[in-house]
Amino acid sequence: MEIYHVVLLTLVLLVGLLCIKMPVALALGLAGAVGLVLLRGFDYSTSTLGSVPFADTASFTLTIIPMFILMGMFAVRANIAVNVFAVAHYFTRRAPGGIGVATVMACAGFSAVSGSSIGTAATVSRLAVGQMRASGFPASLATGIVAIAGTLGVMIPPSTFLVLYAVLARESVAALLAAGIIPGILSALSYITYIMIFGQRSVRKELARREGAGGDSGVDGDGERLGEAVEQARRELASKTVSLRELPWRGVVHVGILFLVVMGGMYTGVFTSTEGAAIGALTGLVILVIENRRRGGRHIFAAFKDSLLDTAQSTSMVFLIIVGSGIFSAFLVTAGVTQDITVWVTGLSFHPMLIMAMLLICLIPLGMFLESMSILVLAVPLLYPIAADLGFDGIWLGIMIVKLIEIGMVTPPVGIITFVIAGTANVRSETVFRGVLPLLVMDVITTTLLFLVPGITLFLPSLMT
Amino acid sequence: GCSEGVVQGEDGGGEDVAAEETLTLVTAAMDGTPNAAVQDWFLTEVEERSEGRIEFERTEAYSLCDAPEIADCVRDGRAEIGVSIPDYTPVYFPSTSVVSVPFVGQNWQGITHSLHELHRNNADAEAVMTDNNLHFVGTWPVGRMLIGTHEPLESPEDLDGLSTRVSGPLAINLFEGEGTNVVSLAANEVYEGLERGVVDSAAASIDFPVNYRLNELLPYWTDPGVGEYSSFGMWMNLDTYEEMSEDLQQVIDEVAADLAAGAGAEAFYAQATEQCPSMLEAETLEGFTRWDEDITAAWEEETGDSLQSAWVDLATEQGLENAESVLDEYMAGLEELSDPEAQDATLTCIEEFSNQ
Amino acid sequence: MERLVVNLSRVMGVIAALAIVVLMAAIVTDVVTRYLTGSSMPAMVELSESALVVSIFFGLAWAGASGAHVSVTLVTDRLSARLNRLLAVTVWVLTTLFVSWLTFATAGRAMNATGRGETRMGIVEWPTWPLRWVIVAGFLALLLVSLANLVRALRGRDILPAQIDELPRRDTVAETGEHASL
Ligand code: NA
Ligand code: NA
Repeated sequence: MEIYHVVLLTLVLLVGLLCIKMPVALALGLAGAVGLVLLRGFDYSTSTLGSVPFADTASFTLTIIPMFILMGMFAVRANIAVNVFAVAHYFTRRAPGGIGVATVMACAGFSAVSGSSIGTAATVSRLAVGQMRASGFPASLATGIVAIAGTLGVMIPPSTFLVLYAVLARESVAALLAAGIIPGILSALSYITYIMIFGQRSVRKELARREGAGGDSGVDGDGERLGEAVEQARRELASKTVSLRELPWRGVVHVGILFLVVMGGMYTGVFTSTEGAAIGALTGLVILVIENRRRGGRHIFAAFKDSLLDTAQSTSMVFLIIVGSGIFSAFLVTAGVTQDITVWVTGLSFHPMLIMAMLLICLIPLGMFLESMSILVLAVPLLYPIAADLGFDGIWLGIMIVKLIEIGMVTPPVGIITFVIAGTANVRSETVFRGVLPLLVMDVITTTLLFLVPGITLFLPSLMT
Repeated sequence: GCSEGVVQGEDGGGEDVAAEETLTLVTAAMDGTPNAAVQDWFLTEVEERSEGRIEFERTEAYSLCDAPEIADCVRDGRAEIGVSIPDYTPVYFPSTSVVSVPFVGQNWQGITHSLHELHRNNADAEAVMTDNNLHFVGTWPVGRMLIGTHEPLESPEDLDGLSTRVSGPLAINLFEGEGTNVVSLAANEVYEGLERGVVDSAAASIDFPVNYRLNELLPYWTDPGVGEYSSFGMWMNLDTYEEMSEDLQQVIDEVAADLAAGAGAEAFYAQATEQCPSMLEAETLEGFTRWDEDITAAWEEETGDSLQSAWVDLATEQGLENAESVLDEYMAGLEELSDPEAQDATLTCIEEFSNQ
Repeated sequence: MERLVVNLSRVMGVIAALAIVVLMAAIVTDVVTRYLTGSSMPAMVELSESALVVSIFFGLAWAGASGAHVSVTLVTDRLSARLNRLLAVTVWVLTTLFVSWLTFATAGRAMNATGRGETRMGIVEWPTWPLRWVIVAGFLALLLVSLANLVRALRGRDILPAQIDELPRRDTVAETGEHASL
């Protein structure tokens, strides 16, 4: 069989396995292993399977991933998101689309203590979707806001994606984490802008429609039931006459402490960014204990134990994908696909910016059938050498890749964050997609800006040297 | 492959004769480094001398197998030839680790040549390779050990109290003996470690300050006379080698012998001198010097035989038979094969700095 | 039988969780020691790498039994129940075969590494061959979970996370929605 046929066959096999619902990590691994058998035989493939699980996981720098996940788990159980949301809500209550703005701010705040987009989206959606619905947000917009703002989780440090990119591309972890801050804040501002300008209009429309439906707020425009949560949220809103002093400021303080420990601690010379993640997790535990001290030791221990079990589970899931992608990319390298693409692309006589834009845009269709972490693991070895060849900055490339993968996390057909929100908010995933789409326009604008002006991304990392 | 023959039969009329052996290379030597220059000299030379009958498929550094995995990739046949740092997998290479004995190896070409002879003539050293299903092609040192610091380093006493990134068991022994706090950091975390103050100094070859830009952070670089301390190895899969026709085996071995006898040194030197401008260009560089021979000699005397016997113990523990006689044979080879006239790129660069 | 598999995966999950604690403690200890004395605590880097491997591979079966390994449901959502049952059998046959292959391959590698007493170099020489067996154990447990799912698929029942809800311990995954925390 010609190599070209083997590659095609393996790709078809991969898509087939994904379509019949095989776990993504195993589909990648199996397709890669079968491809290696076709190229080099069974023994060769078995050697790869025997070595990748250890070679791709036993690395000190990768310990940062479970530590970031753990810190996020502690933060959830330390009520950080609840408290930040309450503070943000107080200050935005009179702004147009105020509670939507508060939601974005809560997502950005929680992103500063959680390395995960899914964790951020899931945590904030449980707090905010009901409240937004009660304030008149249609279901699609309410869930869309949480979904898109949840993507900030992997852009604003700490971020497992930025760490993994740094490891794969052999770039500085600290520089990548610093580089995520400004693009993250810009993205948050762009969502807020949209909500303040257009959100208010859909809220008014929705309220008028509910009015027209004879005050029957049990069914909204999407034909879905307004849950108990909404009723409860409405009651809460009505009963709330909080003063500035009574606000749970400690949530904001906790975010500040954790963010400073992780980011700022590295600058004092006491520890590196890898170690910073473990220190951050320990600090998260301390905050969890303080926050729950009145509820007793048994409650604290349960929260601690659950955080650990969830972290172990997520860690296994993430690393199995790394292993599966490792096997698949061993196949791509053995088949010479990576080199062929590099040779072909660098031989094109287009402007480097155009080539780079084309390659990055290719990540979006990849997001149609691949899970986000797999895209990252597969794309970096392909794109990084090309970008380096064309003279692009590796840190900037990391931010661009993560930004586009974020977009893939909320777009159909496979938008993992969308599924999570649909689950926690009890709506159809199409409803979330509908709410996300207009907000995606803001993301396209931000991404284009970041692409054309690399200085925005590279400003903070440049301060480090 | 079911249609292999068909493809070649149809367009096989061209002048290119298909290679008899296509060997996949996996490497930890990044493009543009002196180690890659040695490796590339070998590959090109083999392709030429075999008149295209041997062809290498050069995969990108680190792409198919990561550096610590390369020996295994070659051993189990995922690649036919590999270039990596044997120190990553010390258990596989108790014989070539003799390079790491401090003060002994001072001559790049002599070390490379002596190691080659050792693995062709000494049954115990050879057995280390064949037991691992490897065929020894070459092992060469990475460059003289330098110590980068914030303050000038004038004698071994100045090492007391430094927090230094050091790798390799014997070098660690040596430094700890002087009261250095030895810190373990992965190579890619050293820059950050220095920036944050986790370490205040690093012991490494000139590659390190140049490739990881450590010369921007540490103004003083000193050659303490320890000499070569670590190496790159090149190995073939033994089965692949043995299944090759005899004349092709001969090509491989002849080119390997030439590499050891001086061609490798030439390629290494040529590329290594190009690192010198990058080393010197850092505006922060204050000193790039070499200790007086007396200071080094006194330090060496102070350590006595302890480092050599430490190596013998370590190598024996890792499965090398008669380690002591292997060491003797290696040292005799150094004596006999070192070319005292051979230039060392690091020393040339130090001279260039003093002339500035 | 199935209950046994689920319990085994849970026990291994608890060990994986403990490994996370060891990982955090090792790094923090190293930082504190270095801050106080200037030197690294020997073997802490190696210990945390080992703890990472334990937590990854001992958690595999637990993650599998609670449905944490993400898959794409886009196509299957649109197919009939009968076809889905057929596909589920196919998936779990393939998964079982592939995980067996992984177990076999890593076991071969582990035996080899044990034979030569594989180590990794740092400040201390740290044995890495036991970690090779941790990987084998992890895949073996995942293999059992795959078999349990295959049996379920053949009987036309939902695959394993469903089982966990029936057991006394609550499903932390569903509770926190963190089942794919990236
Ligand atoms: Na984050
Ligand atoms: Na998508």
